[in-house]
Amino acid sequence: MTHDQLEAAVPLYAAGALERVERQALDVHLLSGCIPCRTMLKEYQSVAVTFPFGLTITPPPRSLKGKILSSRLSSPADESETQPPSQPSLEPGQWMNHLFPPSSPPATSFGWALGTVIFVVLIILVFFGWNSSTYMTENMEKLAQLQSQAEETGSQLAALQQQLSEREDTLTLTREELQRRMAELAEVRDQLIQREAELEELRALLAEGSGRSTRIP
Amino acid sequence: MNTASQLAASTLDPKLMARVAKGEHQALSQLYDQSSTVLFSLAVRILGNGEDAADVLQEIYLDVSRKVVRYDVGRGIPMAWLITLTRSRAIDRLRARGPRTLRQIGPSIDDTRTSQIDDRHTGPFDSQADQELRNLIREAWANLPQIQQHAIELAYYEGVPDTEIAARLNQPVEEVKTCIALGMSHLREVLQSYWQQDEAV
Repeated sequence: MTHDQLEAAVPLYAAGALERVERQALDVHLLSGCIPCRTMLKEYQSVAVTFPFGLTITPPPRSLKGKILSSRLSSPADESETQPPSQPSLEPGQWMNHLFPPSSPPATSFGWALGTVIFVVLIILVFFGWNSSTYMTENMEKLAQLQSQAEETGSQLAALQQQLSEREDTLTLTREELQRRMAELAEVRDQLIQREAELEELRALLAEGSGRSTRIP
Repeated sequence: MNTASQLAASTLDPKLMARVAKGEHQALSQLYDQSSTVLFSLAVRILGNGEDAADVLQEIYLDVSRKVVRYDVGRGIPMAWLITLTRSRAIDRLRARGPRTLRQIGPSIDDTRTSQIDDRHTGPFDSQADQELRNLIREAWANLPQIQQHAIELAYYEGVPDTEIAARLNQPVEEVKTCIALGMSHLREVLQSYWQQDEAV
């Protein structure tokens, strides 16, 4: 409900014409601290409580007073002090504590005190709500920053992984080249050993040939 | 309400309520004398019979004296508090009877002729302050259109919500809301003017 709708409901509230849900909505609005609506309600309530003064005067039975006073005397003064106060079902909160004339409410009333306490609690809740929303906004910003940082780090990590992969490939190629060179070297060594063996054989043949020529002459 | 006598119902002293709560027999007696006629009239208007109305009044005075319900000055003037309490209890009792029976809609706030008959009753309600207030209310009430009177009566004296009032009066709900708001607004203007005048005196 908008404020205008709630304000329009104030005279109906004072007359007792609102449905429970509407009454509760207005109660909440009043407890939230709307001063114009509170003032207006007090004025209308002051009007409503004058209605019985315009009724047909019907005096109570003569016996009623005696009955009440004797009932009061027959029960201990404090017998029901511990009883919980009965709450009429129509009691629509402290806002229906009718006042007339409107100027009469004292500043230290229970209704005002309760209203003030609830108002303060609401302010605190709103403050904490605002504070936590600010805090959440800050956290969201930090989270976004962290996410962007994480994304950046992830891309860096991917680049490093790619470089590492390239290095591994290079290393594999180098290892293969080395193995190939080792094999060639081993082949060259074998050829060298073979040449040395052939050289030894030739040397032996040469020595044998020079011994035969000295005996011929 | 400076013109009021000490016994005017509309000018109940908050100190009297405190004395009643302390258990002073004399204070309870005085409270009854000052307020019972207005409260009984209200209860009879709501409940339609004197027997139930007497039960409601007995319950209220005993609860006040036994501190089952407590008055404090923050709740406005004592008579307003007692009227609110009486209305609530009486309507509770009315509802407890079961399904609401359609009651005849008619003038509950007296016209001049009726009040002349009833005003012969002597008692605290005859105080000058109460009479002034009563005459003012009756006059202001008589100036309201009939549909406004009926709508406010159903709400105040039977605790009927606006949707049900609309059904009973065969009017759209918005029309009923407007009627009540206009009626209450008119009465507020009249009473505010009276209170300002009275304070000036």
